[in-house]
Amino acid sequence: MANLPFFWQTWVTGLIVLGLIFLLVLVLRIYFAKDEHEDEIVWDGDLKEGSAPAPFWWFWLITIALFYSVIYMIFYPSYGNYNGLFNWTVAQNYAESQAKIDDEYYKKLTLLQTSDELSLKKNPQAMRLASNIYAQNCATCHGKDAQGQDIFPNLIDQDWLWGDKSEQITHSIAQGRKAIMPAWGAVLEDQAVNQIAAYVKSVSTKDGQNDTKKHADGKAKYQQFCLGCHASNLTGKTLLGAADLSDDIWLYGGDLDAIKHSIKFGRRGVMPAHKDRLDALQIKLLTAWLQKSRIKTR
Amino acid sequence: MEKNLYYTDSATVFLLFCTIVWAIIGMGAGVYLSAELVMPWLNLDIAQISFGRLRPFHTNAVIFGFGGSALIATGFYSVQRTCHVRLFTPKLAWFVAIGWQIGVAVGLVSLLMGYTSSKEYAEFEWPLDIAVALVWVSFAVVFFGTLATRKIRPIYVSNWFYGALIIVVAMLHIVNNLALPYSWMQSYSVYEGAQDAIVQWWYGHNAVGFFLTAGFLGMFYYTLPKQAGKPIWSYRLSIIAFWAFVYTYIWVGPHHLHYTAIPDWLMTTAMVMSLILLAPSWATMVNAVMTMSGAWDKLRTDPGMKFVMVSMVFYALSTFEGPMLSIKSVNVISHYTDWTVGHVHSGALGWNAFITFGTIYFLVPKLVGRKELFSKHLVNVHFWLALMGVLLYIVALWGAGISQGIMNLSIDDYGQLNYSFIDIMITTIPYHWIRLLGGLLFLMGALLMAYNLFKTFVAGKNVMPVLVRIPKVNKGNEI
Repeated sequence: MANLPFFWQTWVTGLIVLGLIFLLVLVLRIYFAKDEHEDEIVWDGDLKEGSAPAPFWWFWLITIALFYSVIYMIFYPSYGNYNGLFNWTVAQNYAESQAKIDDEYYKKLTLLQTSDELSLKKNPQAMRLASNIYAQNCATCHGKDAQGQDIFPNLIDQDWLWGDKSEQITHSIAQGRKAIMPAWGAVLEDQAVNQIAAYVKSVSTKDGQNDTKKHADGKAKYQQFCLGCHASNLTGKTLLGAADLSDDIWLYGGDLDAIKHSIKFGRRGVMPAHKDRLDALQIKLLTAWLQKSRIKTR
Repeated sequence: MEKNLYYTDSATVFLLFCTIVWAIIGMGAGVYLSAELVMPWLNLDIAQISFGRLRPFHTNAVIFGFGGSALIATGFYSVQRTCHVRLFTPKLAWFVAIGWQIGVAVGLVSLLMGYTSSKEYAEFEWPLDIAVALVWVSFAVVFFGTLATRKIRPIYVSNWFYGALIIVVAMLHIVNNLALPYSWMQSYSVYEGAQDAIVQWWYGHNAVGFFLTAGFLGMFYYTLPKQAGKPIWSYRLSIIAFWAFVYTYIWVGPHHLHYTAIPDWLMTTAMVMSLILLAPSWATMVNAVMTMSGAWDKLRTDPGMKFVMVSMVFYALSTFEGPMLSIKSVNVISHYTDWTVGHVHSGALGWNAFITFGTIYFLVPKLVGRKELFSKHLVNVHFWLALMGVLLYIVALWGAGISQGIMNLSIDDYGQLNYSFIDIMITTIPYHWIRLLGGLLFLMGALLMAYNLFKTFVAGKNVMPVLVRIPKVNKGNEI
């Protein structure tokens, strides 16, 4: 902490010391003053002031408070640059309490660090810790119970855009993900967009499977433009984060209009990287917890 | 008619009317906000009434609209009576009265529109800050002008407090709002980082200290002895209360920034000064209780008196709580929790609003030329509604705040946080329902007051304006 310049140091110290002395003198004078019999003053017809001395207990209250303050300020940083006899600082206090926690819980944390995913999942205390890490860091977007919301994926269903293996989940959390569905509006006519959307919808709802004729055009166009990322059977590719279109889980809406919108204008999904925010153990715990939550709902 | 033989109270009447309007608007906004906390959909997806904009609207409406109008009104009223002279430049007084309303109203609308300097209790943008400063300086001219032309030599204690209010708030307002304008409704503060925080809380806590305490103490020192018909018990206590109060209060702001990146010595100084502050606050409380002794029967016959007395109880309570919360190790629990919000409201509702209600019930019949209020019974109902409301409110937020503080600090077997923020929020919900109920009761009381005063006003309309002749100054007291 930069020191105060001489002038301000004097200013601050002077104000504190003189102020406290002033108060003490005032208290003593007022407490021990003799009753002065002046002309009685009357304001506004009947407003008067009595001259009772301060109560005994009150006198001691302020006297003790003043002395306590002076003594406290001798031991703790005060008067500008004065560090106090205890040499106490907030920064040091923080470092010490952090060190104490690290020291007390070091063994248990190391145990967590070295244990594998399966034993983490079986450890209820570790899972509780993980659910807290989730609530503090992930719940804002993915919802209180990891059920997802709005354009943020559900994390307890079976549909994982970037894969549900532990190294895939770890990567998603630590490095983040960027998903791009290009806007096809510039390339495709509205009619083509409609046809593809209708085809995709028919596959996902298993409605039109028997009616291949009706969606023949759509299917042809799908194979021309979409197959590269979303695969021929519409199951998507986790390597690219390309969504599975064959199930009935839709991040951006599964009705026909929403699908058309996705094709025409594209979509962008961003999962921010958390490697600077969470440490390796936290990410490991989260991964284990997310996998366990999925198993529970299966 | 020789005007100088009479007091002038028209600006006071207008300001008291505005006080009541602001009370309903400001407290109504507060109730709506507390409803939003438990039913978030109540913001109806309208940006203007979302929590972030309505909250500064609420604080500014109650502090500056309600509190400010009440302070200027009673200041104008009592400074004339205690100086035995007509208000200095009554036209300027009217400028203050109207200018203040326009300043606050435009400011509040600008807050709803999203213009904010983002400094708590100083959110108004720079053109409004300048307007408010102009009005405030005019207030100073009227007040100190009246004081300078007084006909009685000794200055009554209430004027010391009003004087401190005017001088210190002018200083705080100007220093904290210093900024470089960038456009008409945007500016950048001249302070940065930790300095900005220190200046902001120097302002923020002294807004509580000088606006919400010194000014209202002025109101109290006039109203209580007048209503009780007894002399202030001890002028010695009021002198020490005044000087200890103004000296220590200026230091305590940084106790809002314990364990942050501000210099350590500021935290220590803020803490010890906050502790000393207990003494002058309780000196005033003792003074109030002892002044009342021998006049307690008035509490039965004069329901407005109850408000004044209970305001002192809450004053004593929150001035004990405040120093306690400023102790670093207590602050660890209370900081960033609802305890702070509860503490503020025990002061703002229990002390500021109660003393204002008591004073209004005392002054309005006189100002409209009636012997009595329209209904004493309604005042009683108001009193019990308000008391229940504020008690529910602060007890609920003690519960909420202490739960939050303890949950914040709780760590699990791995030395990690035991509860997530969401866990803590869910724990808080029941308390927030009680708080909403408390706020509603308080608001209902204020509505009853408005009705009661309106009826009193209508009944007395034919005799207005009431002319009060300035009484002669007693022998030996002349200037």
